[in-house]
Amino acid sequence: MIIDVHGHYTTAPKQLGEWRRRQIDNYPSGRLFREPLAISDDEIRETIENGQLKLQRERGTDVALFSPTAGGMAHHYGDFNTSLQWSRTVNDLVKRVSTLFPDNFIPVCQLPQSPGVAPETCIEELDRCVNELGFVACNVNPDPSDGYWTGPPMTDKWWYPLFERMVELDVPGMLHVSMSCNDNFHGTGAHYINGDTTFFMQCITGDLFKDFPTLRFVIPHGGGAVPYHWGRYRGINLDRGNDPIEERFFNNIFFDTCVYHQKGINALTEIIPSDNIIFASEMIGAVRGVDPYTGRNFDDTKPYVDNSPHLSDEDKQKIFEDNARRVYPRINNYLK
Amino acid sequence: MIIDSHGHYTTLPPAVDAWRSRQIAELASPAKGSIRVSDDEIRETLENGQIKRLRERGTDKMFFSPRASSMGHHFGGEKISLYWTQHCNDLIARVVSLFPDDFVPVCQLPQSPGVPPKVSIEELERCVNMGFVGCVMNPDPSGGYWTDPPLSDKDWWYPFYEKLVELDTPAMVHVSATCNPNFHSTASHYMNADTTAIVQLHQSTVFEDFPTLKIIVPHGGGAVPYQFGRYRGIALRDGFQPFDEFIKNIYFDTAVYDRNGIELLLKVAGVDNVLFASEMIGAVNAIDPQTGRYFDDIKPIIDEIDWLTDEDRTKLFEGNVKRVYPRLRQHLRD
Repeated sequence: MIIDVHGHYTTAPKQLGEWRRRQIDNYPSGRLFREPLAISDDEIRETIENGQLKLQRERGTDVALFSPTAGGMAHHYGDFNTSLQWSRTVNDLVKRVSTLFPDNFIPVCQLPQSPGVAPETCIEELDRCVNELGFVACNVNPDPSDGYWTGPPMTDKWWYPLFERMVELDVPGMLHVSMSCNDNFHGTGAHYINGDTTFFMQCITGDLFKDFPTLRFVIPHGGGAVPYHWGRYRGINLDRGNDPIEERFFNNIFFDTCVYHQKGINALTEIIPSDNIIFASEMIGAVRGVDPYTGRNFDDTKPYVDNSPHLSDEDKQKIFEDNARRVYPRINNYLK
Repeated sequence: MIIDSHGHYTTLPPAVDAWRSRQIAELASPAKGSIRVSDDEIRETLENGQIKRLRERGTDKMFFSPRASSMGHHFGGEKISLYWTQHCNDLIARVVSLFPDDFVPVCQLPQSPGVPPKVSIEELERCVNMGFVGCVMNPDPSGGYWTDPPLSDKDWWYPFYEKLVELDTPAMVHVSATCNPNFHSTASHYMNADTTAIVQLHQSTVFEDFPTLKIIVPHGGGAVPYQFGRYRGIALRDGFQPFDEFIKNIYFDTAVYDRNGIELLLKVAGVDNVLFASEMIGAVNAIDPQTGRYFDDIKPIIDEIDWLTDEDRTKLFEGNVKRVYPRLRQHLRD
């Protein structure tokens, strides 16, 4: 079985974006935004059948973990209530996708984060998604300011109540920033990759997994810059007098395979042990075109993994299926 | 000849940091003053530091600029930054006059958040007149909050680029220490800035407008070679210039601290666009237990990569750096 742990509902019907635009525009008025989101099951079916489901079939993957569009989380708009209403709306929509296509999509939720608001306020929505709706994980944004990094790092106790609940619920987080409203950062090109790199380094300087030995994070996009600079991270970690990186993090941190070229996947799979790599494509995401070098879509990541010279069949079994089941135990409820 | 294109005066005599601490304690009243450091003190810091390593590692020359993490452009305003920068650059000039065979000077710029980069031109010219061959250009003088315009901004950056081109002086993109608790200076802020700078330049017309501008992105270009397919794909999707063509304008250095990374860099960026560098006595001081060598001892890695030819190695160790930094000539014997 091939499980893709990183997909977003990027193809949602256009009413969703229009609804969000009106919600944001309404915010300065101070009035409650009460408009319901009107999307039919047929419209959802159409977007999925012509989009992610079509590609699953073409590419031979079986099931995807599916969350609201990451770039659309845009936690910096409005306030906590804006973010909560938006998160509930998109989480409900992702749940509907999963209900319509239970064999193909497993829901992962967005959190109602907001700059300056303590992450513990997200627990209620996390509980609702996991306990009432069957979600298996959440996306955690390390920078709800969307490009200015004005909040505390994720190793700060500010975050701990959320992590305590993630541990209690046994749901992992995918570390994922959203859009950038800072002109210095292109969203998917710079901000995403920087967010991934930044979180890993926060883990080196902090003690998150000493305090939460069973907390698990997937760092997407192959871990940003991290595997490429593995020597830098190993060295700085040693300079700080810590135990080796492998001992400190390999029960807790996993990298996905959203790296869109063969050389990158080769590097990832050579450097990081196969126990800590999880298959993902983030397809119909940041990079949608066909690579003229290969004739395949950039985000068709399965062939890169298949062709890596550093992986045995056993390694591939871990990367395509076993690691996902281990890191996201709640997906086993969905899988045969 | 083996030329290390990336080194900083990280082993500064204590009087320098003491002066800087006093300056930071009195940000409201900037004064140039003087830093008293004897030639012997400078000699001692280097003979036991960078020069010792140069000899041990068989490196002939090292580019040398003020300590990057200490540039601290976010402290105080324009004058604070100018006085500090002048002292730092003067110190580098003294290092080079004491050890002309070992070091090649590269300058810091007196940048300051909210102050246009063209203000740095005067100090750049002063340094180039003293024999400096390049400069270190900070894309985020705010120290981790990224509040100034991107490198693609014409009004903000172009007057400075014009001067770089006129002087035939390359710029190495390099942030300083971060004051944002989300980031670690050398392990996330540096990497993020390298990645960000390349993305900014990609989504700009800088190299169309300045075809002879030379930009070096150190530390192997942050995440870019590892994520190369992502950038090629984003370019196609968003209609930016083709990434494969754009990237030929960027020079990378080999301050990447293990063999896997160096091999990936060379395979993706190509030998012609990579300059040998170690940034030694820098971000990583430990010995790699896997190799028994210092993490920042890069030369043996390049020597060991069996698919490189001797010609490739000559390019990496000296050919490319001579081409990219034309002013290096004045520091080389015939």
